[in-house]
Amino acid sequence: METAGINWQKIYSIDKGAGYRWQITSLNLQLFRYPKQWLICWHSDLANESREVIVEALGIDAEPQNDFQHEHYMVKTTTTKARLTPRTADRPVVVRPRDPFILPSHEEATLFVSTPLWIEIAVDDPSKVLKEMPVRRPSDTWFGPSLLTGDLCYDSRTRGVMDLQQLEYQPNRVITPLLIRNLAETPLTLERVSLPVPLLSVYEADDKTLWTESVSLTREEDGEIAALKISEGQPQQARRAKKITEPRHKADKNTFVRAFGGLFS
Amino acid sequence: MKDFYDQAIQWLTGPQVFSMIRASLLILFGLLIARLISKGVRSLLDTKLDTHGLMLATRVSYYLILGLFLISAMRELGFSLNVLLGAAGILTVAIGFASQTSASNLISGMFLLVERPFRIGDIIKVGTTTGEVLTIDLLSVKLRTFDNLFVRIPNETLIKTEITTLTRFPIRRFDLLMGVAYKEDIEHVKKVLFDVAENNPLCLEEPKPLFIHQGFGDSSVNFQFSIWAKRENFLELKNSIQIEIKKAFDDAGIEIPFPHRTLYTGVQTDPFPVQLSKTETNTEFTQE
Repeated sequence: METAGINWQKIYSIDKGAGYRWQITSLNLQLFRYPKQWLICWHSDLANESREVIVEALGIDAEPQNDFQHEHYMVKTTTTKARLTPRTADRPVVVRPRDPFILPSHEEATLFVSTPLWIEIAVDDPSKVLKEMPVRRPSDTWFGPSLLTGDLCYDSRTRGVMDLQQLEYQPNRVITPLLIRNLAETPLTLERVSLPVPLLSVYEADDKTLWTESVSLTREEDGEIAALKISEGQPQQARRAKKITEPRHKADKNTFVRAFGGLFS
Repeated sequence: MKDFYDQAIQWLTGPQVFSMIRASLLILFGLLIARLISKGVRSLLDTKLDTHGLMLATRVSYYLILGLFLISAMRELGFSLNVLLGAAGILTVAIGFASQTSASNLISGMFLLVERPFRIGDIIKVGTTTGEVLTIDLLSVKLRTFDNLFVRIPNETLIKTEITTLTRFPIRRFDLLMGVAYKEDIEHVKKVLFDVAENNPLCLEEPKPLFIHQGFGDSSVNFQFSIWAKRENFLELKNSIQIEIKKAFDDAGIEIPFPHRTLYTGVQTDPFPVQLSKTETNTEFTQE
């Protein structure tokens, strides 16, 4: 049984009838292999706020938990290989600074934000993805100028901080350095910002912390649309981090996102 | 018999037969061409129009082409179009008087087409009927209700009636009206409700849930608790949040009271005391 953290590069070897268990904070995830079937069981204990990470091989006589949610995947044949991969959320995440602040004209500020982690479960060789799920399902939230137009996002639950030391490490979250620039002539009151995490890769640092690239959002005019720039490679704060996941979608040079403003407060 | 046979042969070899054959060929050809062209129109406009617009364009092109070939066929058969047009004019007046409602439905349908209060696939509420829009036709709109009934609503009715399109906007608010006992601490009740909303992932963080104190009712302190959800999650949120609120209230000891009535014998007297006591009646029934 391993407790130091998940080795995302590892390919797990699972015999027929056996399984593996991963406990990542509130998520208890099990994967069982049968001759023509993969079985995924999971349970979220939302009351569990610990940072516990457990990886445990389950023997051939291990039974799936009855009170867990189950999904059966029927296949022609199964191999021993299974893999977990971390991913960013599948929608933009709305983050709030610990304390709302005002960014005057032609100023910039860097926030460190953490967003929810998704896990992708892939099996066999060649690898096929069975399922993707959040470690902890975040709340939905609406981000936009009105109730009629906007985007459905996730709410971050944790606050963005200016000092990286203040950001509490959690194994079920991914950290993004976010540079906000205000090039408009009017001040920008920053109460919330929508971070387009589906456009970001996932890197793993030596201490197992997960990072994305640095992102800069530039407010060009008086509006909620921002010019997005994603830096190439690891962020400055994790120079030796290794890339383990590609972004869900590619951003091009002229990507603009709805990042500021939010709604009707 | 021989005369009839001779006349038949004479007729079959006469010029009118060739006209009939040509007219039939024109109609057959017209049917084929109309179908091909309407298919072509459908492929061309498939990505440019919605389902209803596509259906309309396909039908108009089909009947237009067919109509042209029919007119050609009739000319081939020797019908004078001037006479036909004259007769059509008189017929139109007669039909107009007879079909006022249909004409009204037709024109209402055109206005609906321009105004577009809803599309095929939307869920609309018209009067007491709620259902999914199946088709928007020339004279009526067809709905499928949630209990799988087919409802036909004339376009004229739709133009004159208030229509609520439930699926127009991406998010929707659920208003829960409830009351708690007078003895409860309203601030504590509010906190419990907001905690429940925060822990339900389907409940949108923003727009923020709303708590509105409605007033002091006969039996309870009444309020409205409103929460938002993505439109597709509305029903699931409506069910789950009420169950969670009930559980949270039970855990917190918050009472949702039944209606209360206080009885007095008169202004100057105390309320009647109510005392529960066992009787022997039930025991007698059991023994029998």
